[in-house]
Amino acid sequence: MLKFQDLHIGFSKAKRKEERILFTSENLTFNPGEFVAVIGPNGSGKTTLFNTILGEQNPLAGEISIEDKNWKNLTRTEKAKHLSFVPSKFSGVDHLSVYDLVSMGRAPYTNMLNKLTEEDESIVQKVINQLGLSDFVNENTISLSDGERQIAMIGKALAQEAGIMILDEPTAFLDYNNRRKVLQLLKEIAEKNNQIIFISSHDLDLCFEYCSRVVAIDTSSNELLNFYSPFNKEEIINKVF
Amino acid sequence: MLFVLLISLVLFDLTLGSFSIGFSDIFNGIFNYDSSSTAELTVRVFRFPRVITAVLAGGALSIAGLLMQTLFQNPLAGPYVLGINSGSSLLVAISTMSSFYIFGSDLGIVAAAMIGAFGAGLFILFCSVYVKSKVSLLLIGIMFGSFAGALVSVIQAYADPNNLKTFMLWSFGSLQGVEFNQLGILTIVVVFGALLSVVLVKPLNLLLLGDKSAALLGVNVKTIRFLIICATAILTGVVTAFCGPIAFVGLVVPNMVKMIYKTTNHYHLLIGSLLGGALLIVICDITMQLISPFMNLPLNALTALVGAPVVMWIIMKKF
Repeated sequence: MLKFQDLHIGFSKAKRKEERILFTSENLTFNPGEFVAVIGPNGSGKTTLFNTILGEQNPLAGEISIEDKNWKNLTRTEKAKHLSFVPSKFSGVDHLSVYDLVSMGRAPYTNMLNKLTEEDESIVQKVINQLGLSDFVNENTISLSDGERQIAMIGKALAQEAGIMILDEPTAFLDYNNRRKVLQLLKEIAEKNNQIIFISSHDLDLCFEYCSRVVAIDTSSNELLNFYSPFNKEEIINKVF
Repeated sequence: MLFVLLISLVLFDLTLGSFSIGFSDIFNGIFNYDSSSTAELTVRVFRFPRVITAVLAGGALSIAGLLMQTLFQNPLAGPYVLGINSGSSLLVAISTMSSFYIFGSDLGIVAAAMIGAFGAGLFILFCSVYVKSKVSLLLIGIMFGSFAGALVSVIQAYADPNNLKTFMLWSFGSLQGVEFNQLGILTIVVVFGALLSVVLVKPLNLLLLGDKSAALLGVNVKTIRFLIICATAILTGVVTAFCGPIAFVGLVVPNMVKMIYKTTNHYHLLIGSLLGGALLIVICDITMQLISPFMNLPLNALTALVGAPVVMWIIMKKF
């Protein structure tokens, strides 16, 4: 369970010359099993919101808590056990196999030499089966197609066994079929594993189709708006864009 | 397999020199020393230090190269191209040719070389924050190398001829300069640097996914970067202090190891680089010993002869 309390998102003085609030949020609660799309125009603060949840930057005011623990007090490794992240573009690393990539998700749990225990290995295997990656477990990550690589990266995040998964524009570099495939997959994961999944996206139609909840950044009132499925597309689009 | 090959080549290398020595004398020279036998004396004073230095120098430089390549996500990174050797050279030049005798002793030179390497490493790390392009960063490293080289020339112009000669011989790169009792320092420092690298295996693996992903898997990226630079400075510094600036080994060996092992697990890559680097320098030494009746090649010439074509090949393949 993820909670926003009176959150003010934006840049602090340390990052920019002047403090700038991008938007504020009332108290919001996200429950396990929700598939949430964050939408808003370019520059409205989707990435900043994600960076704040990920702990890369601090909120200007307010609090984020996960499972009722204050976010600021957790160590890096503890955070990694609660939260996983998939960047919008991963171009692969030479000689890194899909299996090794997925098992990197176990890093917060392994010892110093990164040795996988039997339990770790069975989790990695489970993730590979769940995502249908078994045909390319030994493939080099640079020789995969963009769609396959994106799914392998989702596998890494799944192996992390975190309650919350954040994907920054997961569909931006994919073709139409792969977009649908990835979103369908994420929807199933959210329901089956009872995880909270956040995506940011500009594919509004696809978000409305697959996500169970949409959080929109309204740049005129600088507020975070909250909508549940079934969505009234026109109302949301008129308000936000 | 690499290990067996290395051991046999090391033994072979020990027999080579101005005259050949049998295995029994080599064994006695190391474990059962008797100074009245010429053969044992030669083994003890010249060959054993030379060959062990070859092993340690090769291993250390290759590990340093691997660390740099992962840190900067660049297959062409290495202590030599990034100017880390040059930083060492500069401080060694200052300590051998100027009147600052704070660095006068053996340990002093090692310390000077490490400080130089560390300074250069921090400089490159600082630049990497602002320069995003991999090629530009390499150019900055090369420019830094030239700059340090120019400063060394200035120092040379004012140097005492004897000191200048010592420095020039040092800068050609040589495995002969290490004496038996200095081997201890070299060994301890290289082992320490290698162990520090082993501790960094997990963060090194995760850094391949990029800084942000690594941080979100629990890596404290800033601390780790700093530790990587420390390990590189220790390994490069100590080798440069004793053997001079040896080029290309740190760049070439990790690339070959990656090609052979086809893995990104740094635990295997580290061991592979250690053995591969040792192997390469021992082979270079064997070559030098075999051709020495006809001509005396400096080590640096030989490593460049092997290294430069490999670098060109990597550029053609990956850029």
